Amino acid sequence: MTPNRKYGAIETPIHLLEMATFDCALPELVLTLRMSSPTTQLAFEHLALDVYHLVVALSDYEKTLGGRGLRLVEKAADDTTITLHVVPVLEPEALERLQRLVELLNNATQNGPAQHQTGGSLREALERTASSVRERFRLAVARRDWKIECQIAD
Amino acid sequence: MNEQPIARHFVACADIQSNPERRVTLVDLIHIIRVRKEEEFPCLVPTICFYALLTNGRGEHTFAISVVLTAEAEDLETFRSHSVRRDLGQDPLVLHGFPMRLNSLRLGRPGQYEFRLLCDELIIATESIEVRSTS
Repeated sequence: MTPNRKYGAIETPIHLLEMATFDCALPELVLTLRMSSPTTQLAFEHLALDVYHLVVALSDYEKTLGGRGLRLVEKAADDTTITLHVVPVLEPEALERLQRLVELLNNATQNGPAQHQTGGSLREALERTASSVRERFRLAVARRDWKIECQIAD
Repeated sequence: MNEQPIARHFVACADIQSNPERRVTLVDLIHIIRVRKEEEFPCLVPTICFYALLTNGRGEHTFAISVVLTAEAEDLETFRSHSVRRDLGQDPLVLHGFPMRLNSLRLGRPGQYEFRLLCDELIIATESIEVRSTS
C-alpha cells in the first residue's frame, strides 16, 4: 500500500523499564493443636473463638517483628486435632520471621500456663494485656489445655 | 530531583511479551479469574502480569505490588512483595512502560481482589480482579 503523503507519520515512544518479577510463594507455618480430650459439639464455637484469638495474637506478634501480619490459608479439624496453615503477608524476610515465631511458640509451650506471670490487680492485668503483644500471645496460648506443635513448610 | 510518577495505565494480563525493538504485547487481559469446577480454594495462579505506563516521574523510586481482598468489612492485605528500584531519569515527559510478573499467587477465597502498585510505599495505581467460584 502506498503511504499517504498527505499526513505525517507517527510513532508511540515508550521507554521500557526492566521487568520486575515477584515470587508470591511464601513459606507457611503449620500449627497442630492437639486437644487433651475430644471437643463436644456444644463447645465448638468457644473453641473456634480461642483458635481465632491464637491466630490473631500470632499475627500481631509477627507485625512486631517487622511483618504485616499472617493470614490463615488452610484449616482442618477432627475431634482432637486442629491443623492450621498460616502464611505471612510480607514477602521480604518472611522465613526469618516465621523462625522467630516458631521459637516463640516453642518457648510458650514449654513454659506452660502454670509458670506464667500472674497476680496484681485487675487493673494491672488489663494494662499488661493492653500494652504487650507478647502478653496477649501468652494468654492466647494459655487459653486452652492444648499441645501446640509447629513447623515451617515451603 | 525526585518526583513520583503518575500511572496512566495499570493493566492485568496473562503474559507480557517484548521484542528487541522494545515493543510490548499484552496477552489476554484479565478481569475475572474463575476457579475450575473440580478445584477448590485456596487456588494457585501460576503467573499473572501487570503493565504500568508511567509518566511525570523523575529520579529513582522503589516499586512494589500489594494484593488486597476488598470484599470484607475492611480491606485485608494478602500479599506484599519486596521492592524493586527503577530509575525514571530526569525528563518527566518520557513515558515509561513497566512490566511486572507475579508468580505462584495464592488466592484464599472468592472475592474482589485489588492489585495495588506502590511507589515509595504510596499507592499510585490499582487494578481490580474478581475471583469467582463456579459453585
